[in-house]
Amino acid sequence: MDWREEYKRKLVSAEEAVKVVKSGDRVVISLAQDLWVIPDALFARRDELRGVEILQGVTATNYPWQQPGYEESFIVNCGQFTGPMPRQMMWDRRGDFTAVTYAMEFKDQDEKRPGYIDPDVSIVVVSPPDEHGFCSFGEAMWEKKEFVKRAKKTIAEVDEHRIRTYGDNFVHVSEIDYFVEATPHTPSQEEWDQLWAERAAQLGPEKTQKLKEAYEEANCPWYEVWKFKDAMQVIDVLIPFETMYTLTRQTVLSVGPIPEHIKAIAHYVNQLINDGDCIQIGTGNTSNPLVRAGVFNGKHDLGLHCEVAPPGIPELVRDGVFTGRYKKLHPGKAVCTSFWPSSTRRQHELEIINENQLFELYGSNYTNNVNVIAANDNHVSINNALYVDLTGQVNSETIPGFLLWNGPGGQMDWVIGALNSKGGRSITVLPATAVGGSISRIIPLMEEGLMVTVPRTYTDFIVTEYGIASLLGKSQRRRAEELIAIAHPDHRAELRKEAQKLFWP
Amino acid sequence: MDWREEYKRKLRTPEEAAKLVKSGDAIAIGGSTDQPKIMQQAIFARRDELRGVKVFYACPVTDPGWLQPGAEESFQVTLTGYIGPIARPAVTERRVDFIPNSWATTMKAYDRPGEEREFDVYIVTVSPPNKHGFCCFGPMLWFKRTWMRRAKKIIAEVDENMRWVYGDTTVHVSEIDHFVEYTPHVMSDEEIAEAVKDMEPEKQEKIKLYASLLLSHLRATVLGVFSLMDVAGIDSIAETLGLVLPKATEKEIKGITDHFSLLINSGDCFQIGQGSPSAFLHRLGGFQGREDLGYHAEMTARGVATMIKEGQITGRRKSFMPGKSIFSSAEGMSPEELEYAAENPKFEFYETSWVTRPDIVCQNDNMVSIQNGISVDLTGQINSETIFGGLPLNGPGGQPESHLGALFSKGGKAITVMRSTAVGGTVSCIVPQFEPGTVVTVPRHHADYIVTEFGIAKLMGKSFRERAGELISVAHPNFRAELKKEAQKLFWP
Repeated sequence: MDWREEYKRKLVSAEEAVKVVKSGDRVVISLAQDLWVIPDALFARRDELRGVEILQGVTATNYPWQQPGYEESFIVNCGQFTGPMPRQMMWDRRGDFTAVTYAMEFKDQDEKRPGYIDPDVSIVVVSPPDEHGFCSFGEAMWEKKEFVKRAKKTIAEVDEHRIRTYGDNFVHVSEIDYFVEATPHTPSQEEWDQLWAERAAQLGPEKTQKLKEAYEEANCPWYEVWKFKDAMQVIDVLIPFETMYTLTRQTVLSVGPIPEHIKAIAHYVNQLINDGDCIQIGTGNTSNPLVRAGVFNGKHDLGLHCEVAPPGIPELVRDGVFTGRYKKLHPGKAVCTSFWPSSTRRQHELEIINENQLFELYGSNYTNNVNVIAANDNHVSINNALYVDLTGQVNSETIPGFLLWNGPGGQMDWVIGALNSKGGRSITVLPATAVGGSISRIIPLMEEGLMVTVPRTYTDFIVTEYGIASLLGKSQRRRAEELIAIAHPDHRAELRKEAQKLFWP
Repeated sequence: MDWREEYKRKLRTPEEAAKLVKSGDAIAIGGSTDQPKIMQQAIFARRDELRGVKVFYACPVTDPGWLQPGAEESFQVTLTGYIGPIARPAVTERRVDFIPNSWATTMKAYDRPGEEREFDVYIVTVSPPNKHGFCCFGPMLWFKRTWMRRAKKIIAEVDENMRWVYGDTTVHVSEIDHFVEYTPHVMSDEEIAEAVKDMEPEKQEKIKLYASLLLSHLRATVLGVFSLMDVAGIDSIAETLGLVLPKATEKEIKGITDHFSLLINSGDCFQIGQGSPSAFLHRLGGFQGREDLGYHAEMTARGVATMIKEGQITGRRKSFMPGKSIFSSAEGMSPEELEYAAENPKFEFYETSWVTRPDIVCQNDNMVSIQNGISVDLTGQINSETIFGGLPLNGPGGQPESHLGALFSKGGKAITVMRSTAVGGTVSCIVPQFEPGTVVTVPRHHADYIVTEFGIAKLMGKSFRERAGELISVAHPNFRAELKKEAQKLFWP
């Protein structure tokens, strides 16, 4: 059968497609995709559905089942990351969480361990099919292909704006059960006005104006503002406005001056990178703006083997900073499982990636496989942390009180992969302080409720705006000294006192 | 030049060799229970003339004096990777420093440009040379060559009793700078009986029994340690060394073994950690009825060599180095087992920094790592190093790496075995959250199987709520209600 006929036969409305979900099903929604119609259609069935488990990845959209009151219909289970949107749900303990790294994600299923669960329904966003009937997952592949393979039924939202990439980023029309066409529409003037009016009602006119100006300064396409309309709901609820405003400008919009501490961190990380290194750099509030702050300035022939590549990377590949010349695995190719284009330059970055042979996307269980990572010599991983204790334990997941900020993601995969790589280095970046300088992120010991993402046995370089601490192979006392030297000067005396108690007689 | 002449030319008295050490030098001591003895004493004897000598080693079994208070100005000790009972007081009192790296990554740092760590003097025990001029590092290989490569001067203590084993265990006379001949006296049963004759009868019997079960080179050391302890303390060390099954907890260990056994298949390649309860699993039937097992591990729990001798471990189905059992050290073997392993091509010994590398370990399909946990929290974080918050009991050793290697192996399993309670049943080892200071040896995203006497908790791929359910079901019934309450607070609204 010609794929075109098949596609036509499978094309249904969102309401029709979600009928495939039954009470008690496990529904998987991979991360970094903007579903426009299916979540609402599924949510509309809340009265007839009971105990549908939704395993969801981090997203910018606020899925309706994250609100309180629907726990009987939907059991939400966040995988790997939480991100900002489900944070309130997690802090209320209404949602569940699965801590597994990408390298290990399908181990129990692949090896058919007793009790493993295959998903019943997977929901993905794809590009329209090409002439051979292959759709692409666009700039964000992650585990979507695996989910399609493993789920009994797959529903795909077809978005005309989705780009195509090379690598393994294809799924054939025959592998998908239902297609729902849902190219986002341009919001009307009324919808715009309503969006900002909603914000004004929540934040007050002054803050709303400030936020609006930031988006205008970024010259953001409507699509981006619209995408983040949900994210804005949490401002001032979970996160103080000023913090969110700064982070939005810095991380999401990539506008405004680069903060001094980011410049300093970029300067130090730059010293740890050599020409020809193969790079993984994570997304996060510290690592994202590093690219714009020139962390790769003056370097040549870098390689990219990455999980999610932060904004600015596509341009560095195009401009020949990343050539992949010295990569042993996928030489000459920029490999990752997802891009996170900046909102401001989204279209620009996507155009660079679209159908460009320089870029190859693979599933996250492949990119994050530690042996695959270590196959490249001189692999450098750059990831974020919330807290580091004086023994070298790294936390990038929770804040005191066992409040989930994020999940382990693939951090540990990259740390081990980089250490296993010949000449490899693993770098953890974080600002020296939090909450406006009042709290040191370098702490004596992990407090109760702070999860350990990287055990101290694997901690390598830690970088703050005050310098580089090199921990691998160092004793407890020397680790403490190294870390105190990169703590904020105001907190060093206190840390020294604590270190003295912990590591000296 | 003939190696015999070279050897003769390099032969020194311990005092002459000790003169190589200068104030401010970094010295490293190779091996573990076979650490050179006379050289440590000769160097320590110079304590009044030496200042600021840095001493690096792992798991000391003798103390020439620098682990005691008072010599800090002359010698600064740093332990690498593992603490052990002899050095524990010095660590607890924070008089010595500690490097918390796992085996395979420590050396990586020492090779980095700008980070190189060189030892001025390295002392190590070897066998006498064979006819080609090769000495053997012996069955307690650990890091002997890895460290030697980073030293400027090498002093070898030649021990006639050092056994030869296969693998990559030899060093040529030409690679060593100075030789000191010293064969420690091996205490006979009669001498031990004589040494303990004034102790209380129960203690006498215990010491005599345990000494007879130990490798002969350990007898004098253990006698020294035991004579300072009471019977309960002696039993506890004997349990850690896997010498005898502790009566008091026999039922628990049997329970753990029964559950553990369900996870093992014929053809699996495994690694079993030293310590309790792991070192008893295979001796209580944990592998009963399984055939063609393989072995790849840094250490040997007592009884593993017997499984090789009896043909239960054949290595036939290993996908990596088939037919061979791979070790880094023979500590834990019984005297009879070491006798069997010596010069036996079924046993191969390699450097720890290679044996424990996760990317080497995982080349064996169906790799099973078996390690002990001290406590685990309801999210699945595993602690195998500290008790009561931050008090260090041990180092990470090779646990993180063996665990990861097993996870990366196709069909592999990482099993953590532990008793559900500690301190006579008054404390649950499954806790809601870790106290501050508790070290996380294995992060929760790598937790796999946790086995207690009450069952198997399967954590991989599970959510918080599912993990809590799994772990509470293997906790001691007396603590389940409390844990359930805490889990409710942590994971439900």
